[in-house]
Amino acid sequence: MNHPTPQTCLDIQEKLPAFLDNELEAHQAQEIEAHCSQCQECHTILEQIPSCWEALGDWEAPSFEDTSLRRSIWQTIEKEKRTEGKVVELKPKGSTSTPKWSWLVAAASLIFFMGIFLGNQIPGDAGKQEYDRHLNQHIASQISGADVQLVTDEALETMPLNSLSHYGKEPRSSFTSKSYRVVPVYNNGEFQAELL
Amino acid sequence: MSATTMEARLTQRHKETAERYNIPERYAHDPDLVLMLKVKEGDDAAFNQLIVKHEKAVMSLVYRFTGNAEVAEDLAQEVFLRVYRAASRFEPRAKFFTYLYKVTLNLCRNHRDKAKRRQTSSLDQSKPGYEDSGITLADELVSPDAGADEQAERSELAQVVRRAVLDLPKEQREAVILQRFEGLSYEEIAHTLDLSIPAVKSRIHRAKLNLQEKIAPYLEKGHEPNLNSTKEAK
Repeated sequence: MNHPTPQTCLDIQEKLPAFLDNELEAHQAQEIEAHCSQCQECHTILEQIPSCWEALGDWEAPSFEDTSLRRSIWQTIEKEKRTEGKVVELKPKGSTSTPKWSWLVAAASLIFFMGIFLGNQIPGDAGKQEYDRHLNQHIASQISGADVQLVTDEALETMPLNSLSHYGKEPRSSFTSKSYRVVPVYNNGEFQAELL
Repeated sequence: MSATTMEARLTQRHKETAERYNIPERYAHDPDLVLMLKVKEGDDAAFNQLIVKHEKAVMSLVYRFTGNAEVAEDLAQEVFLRVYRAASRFEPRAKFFTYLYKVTLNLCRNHRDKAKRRQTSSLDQSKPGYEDSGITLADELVSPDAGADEQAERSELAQVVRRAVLDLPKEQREAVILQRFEGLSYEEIAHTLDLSIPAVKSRIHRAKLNLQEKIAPYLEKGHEPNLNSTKEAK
């Protein structure tokens, strides 16, 4: 048999991986076998493809032990929830989309402004904030029926991750109002609340 | 409890899950996908379970795609954050891990594109032979896996293999990594890469020839192969 032309070899070599994977028609497979029995170059490549594929196993990835990935993810999520107002809704399971606390917030605002109007002066910003805090504590208690813990943003920031990580314990979908503490959070003077 | 009883209970549970989330029953067989549907409902505990289960796989995948261990944790974090942020819009269309791998792949592509755009200073020049992979000289210098000690310890064959894989055209590289290192089937790779199965096979076959060309000289003679002769993807 004459030595095959370079073009024949290229055509054959293109099909070698499919041949090795038994993906060729019978007549194509016979053509490959016949060619490789006569052509040393193609025969060598045919033998090398599986060993090179096996050699890929030598490239090991690092173990990635002891990374802080999980902690970083939850810290970022917490931060986003606080800074972007993506707080957990204070809405017991099964409640409607117009929660009763919107009425309570409206009522609280009315009481607050009426208080100012009627001359119940609150001395300075600190006093006003204290007034807000008590008012919000009352609202949160009314809504959740739970014990209420007041914390500042700064305190919340430094709380241990596991105390913030209600995510790891109580799925929001199984929310029951008695099971949670409510932590009012002040954000730009606007009352928000998170469940812990 | 007999095996038949257990199987019947499992089937019943899958039916209930399918009804609960209004999804085809085949998706209820994928526990990760069910967890993701819980995340969609706001269940952060379910999301934590997904992180625990897949964090190492995602970091490993990022490392394979980028060749850079240092970026693995940062990109993996972004992968999970994207999954979390998009949870409310999640609709099951395939197994969960193909969705997760798709997000990972997109981020790695973005990272590579950014790395290419950064190539302005001398250190940001592509590492010779790595023009397509986005691996820069700077990446090599700062990469923990390129430290002097580890370099010395790493087998020469592993280096040859790593360079050969990273030097593949990206279409081939992605398919090879998903099949060879992640053990995905052709069908799963097709889902992940949005390709037909024949297209996936074609890429892997072409990659096998390229890898043979680059790795075989080392296996035969024990020296570094020429890295500048990769066959282009069709």
